[in-house]
Amino acid sequence: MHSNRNKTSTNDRAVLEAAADAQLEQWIERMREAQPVLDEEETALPLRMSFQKGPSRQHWQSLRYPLNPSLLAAACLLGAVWMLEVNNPTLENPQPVESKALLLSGYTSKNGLSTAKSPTERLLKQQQNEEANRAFRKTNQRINRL
Amino acid sequence: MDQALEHTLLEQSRQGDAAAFSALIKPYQQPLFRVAFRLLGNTEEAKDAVQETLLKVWQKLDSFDPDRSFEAWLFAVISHHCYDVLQSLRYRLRKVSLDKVITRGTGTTPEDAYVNKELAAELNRLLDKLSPKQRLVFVLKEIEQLDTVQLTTMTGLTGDQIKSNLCQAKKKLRNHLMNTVK
Repeated sequence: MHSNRNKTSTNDRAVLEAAADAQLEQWIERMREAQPVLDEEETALPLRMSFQKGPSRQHWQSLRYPLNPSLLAAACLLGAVWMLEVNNPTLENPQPVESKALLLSGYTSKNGLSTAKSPTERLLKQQQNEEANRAFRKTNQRINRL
Repeated sequence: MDQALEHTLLEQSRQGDAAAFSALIKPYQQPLFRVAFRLLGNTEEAKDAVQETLLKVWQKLDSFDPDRSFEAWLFAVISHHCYDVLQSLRYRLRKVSLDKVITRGTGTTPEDAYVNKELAAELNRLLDKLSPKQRLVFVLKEIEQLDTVQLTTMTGLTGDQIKSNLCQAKKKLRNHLMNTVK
């Protein structure tokens, strides 16, 4: 009885394996026949590669709407005038040079109050931080060794 | 392509003639794309692989030995590149997002797009079960029908490695199919 059941399951497995093999063979055959399609634009691949060397003068000239040099110069000039005359806030609200210099140096805020520490203080603080970090690392190492 | 013509084009390409290089690789573009597509199971990835391969070949033309087969060299470069892509994390991540998001194929005509999309789905249905090396060996040996000598030249794997990877790949695929048959 037991051996009969075993024989049946072995037979079933053999049938399953044969079916799977046949399916796999069919699938391989189908994949061999099927051809993926590379579209037309991809035939220009080496052309794209030539751009690796940088655009040549020819490429620039092939623009559909080439820029007119005189128009470009006029536009640049207008832009420069606008930046200098119209968009320059210092002409309308002149700022004292000293206050700007102080702001940049970090010794004073916009309200005129001192916010930053002196360079010596900063250096001292930095050194203290480094020492603390070193001590922390050492302690960590010791703990790890334990 | 005629051997003499290929040799001439190769020489001209080595001197930086892009037009000659274009003529040289033109007959190989479609076969290269086909191999890349079958290995990667994705149109965009396959196009990128072809582009990268041609760029590498263009840059390394000086180091190519003209006594060897140019075709074999091209296919060796693309199979190595595809293997690297299959192994990369980028591919796996991109694949997950593509599976979720993309329902379109790419191609000039809707028919081309449809063919590629269907084929990619069919390829990935089974080949995703394989490791990159198994996939490489299985596709080149079973679908592209290359012989072991060609495979050894292309992939750098030994005959035994090819045999064992192919055996494992077939076993995995058979088990997967058996589960679906049940």
